[in-house]
Amino acid sequence: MHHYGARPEHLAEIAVAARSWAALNPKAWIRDPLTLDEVAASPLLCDPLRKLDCCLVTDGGGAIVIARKERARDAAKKPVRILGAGESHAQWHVAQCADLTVTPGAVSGAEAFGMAGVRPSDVDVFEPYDNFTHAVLLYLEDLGFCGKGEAPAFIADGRLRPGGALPSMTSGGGLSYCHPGALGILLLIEAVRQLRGEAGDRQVAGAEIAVAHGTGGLAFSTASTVVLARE
Amino acid sequence: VNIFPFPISAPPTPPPSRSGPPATCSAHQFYPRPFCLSCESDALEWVEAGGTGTIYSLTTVRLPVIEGLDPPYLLALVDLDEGPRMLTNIVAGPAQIGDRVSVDWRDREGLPPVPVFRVAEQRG
Repeated sequence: MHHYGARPEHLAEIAVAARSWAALNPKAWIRDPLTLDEVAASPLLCDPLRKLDCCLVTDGGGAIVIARKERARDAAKKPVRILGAGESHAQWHVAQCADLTVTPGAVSGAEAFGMAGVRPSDVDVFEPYDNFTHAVLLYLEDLGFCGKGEAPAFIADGRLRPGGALPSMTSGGGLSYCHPGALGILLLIEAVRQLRGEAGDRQVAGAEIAVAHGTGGLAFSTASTVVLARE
Repeated sequence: VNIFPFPISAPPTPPPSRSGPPATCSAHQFYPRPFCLSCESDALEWVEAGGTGTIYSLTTVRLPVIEGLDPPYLLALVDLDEGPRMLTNIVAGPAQIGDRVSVDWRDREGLPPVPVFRVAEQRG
């Protein structure tokens, strides 16, 4: 915000986009409609983050089965292909982070997209680890969906919301669906559901390529990116 | 007296044998480590930092996190003039990114004091 001029309303747009998706997911923890003004009116916790900029605190869990293509051919469910994956570890403590506007996703994303042979513009569904609203803005930039500092303009016009050009946090995300602390597994599961066409009211029509992207460690010390595709 | 522990590479206590080449760089690091992150030498020295720096990032914490540290309070990343970046508190705000700060000390019962900073000069 200091460097690139992002405003609190740009952060709030992430929370509203996530809630818009959660409204379509019967399993989401919070499904009530949410407005930018309501985010702005929620209690300030650590400037500029307000309560509604922060993820839920819930329990949850998940599991995935990974197999070779030949083995997966006669699986009960339609397989989804792993096109590419990348991971990165930049620092441990936040004080060792050289630039707070760059996460290790800049490395993991380039690795994953490189392995997959696709570009961010090819992505139909984006499942970011939305622990805090500002994080999603950083991921969009680090993964190359837009340039550094451009995420506030990129998300305008509801790009991440239902019906937008880059459907993101389609389960409702950590902000409104479920945040068990290990949200990453739920990102992969939601991406798979979208690619299999199992997402019900929140289904992104014709989704062929999905990206699940998570960060972790203390604040943003590590990142993992997975590119998945419909078989 | 309070010592501000910003070593030119900090040997653990007791110091390791200095088998490696002598330090070839003057990089400072914090927290202390048994080798230099910059040149990998284990010939390390402790130095006392000047205790001045510049605020790199800043937030006001408005919810209770630590017993004895009542909100609201300022949490900051301060770039020390020697180079290392440090997570710390700013006492006696207001403060903003870019402000020059100097070290102060928060006393603690039965524990070493904690280095915190106060604004020395507001960003021009």
